[in-house]
Amino acid sequence: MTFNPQKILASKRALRRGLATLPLAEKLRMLDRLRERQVAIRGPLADKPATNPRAQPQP
Amino acid sequence: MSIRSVIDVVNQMQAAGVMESYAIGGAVGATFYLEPVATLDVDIFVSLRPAPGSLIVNPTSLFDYLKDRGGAMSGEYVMISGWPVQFLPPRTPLVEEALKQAVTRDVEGTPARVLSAEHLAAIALQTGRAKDKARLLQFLEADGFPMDRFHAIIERHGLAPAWEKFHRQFLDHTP
Repeated sequence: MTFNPQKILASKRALRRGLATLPLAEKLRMLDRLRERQVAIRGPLADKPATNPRAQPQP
Repeated sequence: MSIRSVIDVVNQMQAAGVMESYAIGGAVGATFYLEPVATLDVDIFVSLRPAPGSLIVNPTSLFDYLKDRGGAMSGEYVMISGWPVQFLPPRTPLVEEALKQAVTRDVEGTPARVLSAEHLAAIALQTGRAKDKARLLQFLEADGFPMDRFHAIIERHGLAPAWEKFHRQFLDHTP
């Protein structure tokens, strides 16, 4: 654990590099899981991407 | 919900002659080279054949093929294996070139055609939305493609001014 910004940024870069070098199939499975979470958060009515966010009905 | 299943379906479509060729682009395409970033849809660029005796390309056969196999249409998307998939014809010479020069990657024994990293980066520069600029920065930070090929692409497609502007905005740290 550190509060050194340089070390924190280096650690973030290392994490991203590590994720980028994962096997393709594993990265694609991660996309599946990320989308499942997004859909869960947004709700079933938003289970598709909005082509124009401004056209969405106001809450 | 599985992108692998989407790739299987698209490979079957190509084998059945529904499309001439395809290549995955967008955030899913970028994930072949970078860390995964959440996305809601799959962009697939397709090259279609004109119907016999016609010069006009008609995407109806593509959508009919999917509908016959249970694909649900939702606006401009087709739901495949839980993913909204958008089939996109190449609308610019850059995307046309990117589709022709797409590469085949192996996903646990399944071939997947994907746009090259340098073409994905150039398309991000051309499209120019905030998320595209973020993706281009990701590619640059990851050092994920040969810069000489990227520069050749942007020169060929008249993107040098856009690149200079991007460079000034995000990469030039001099005050």
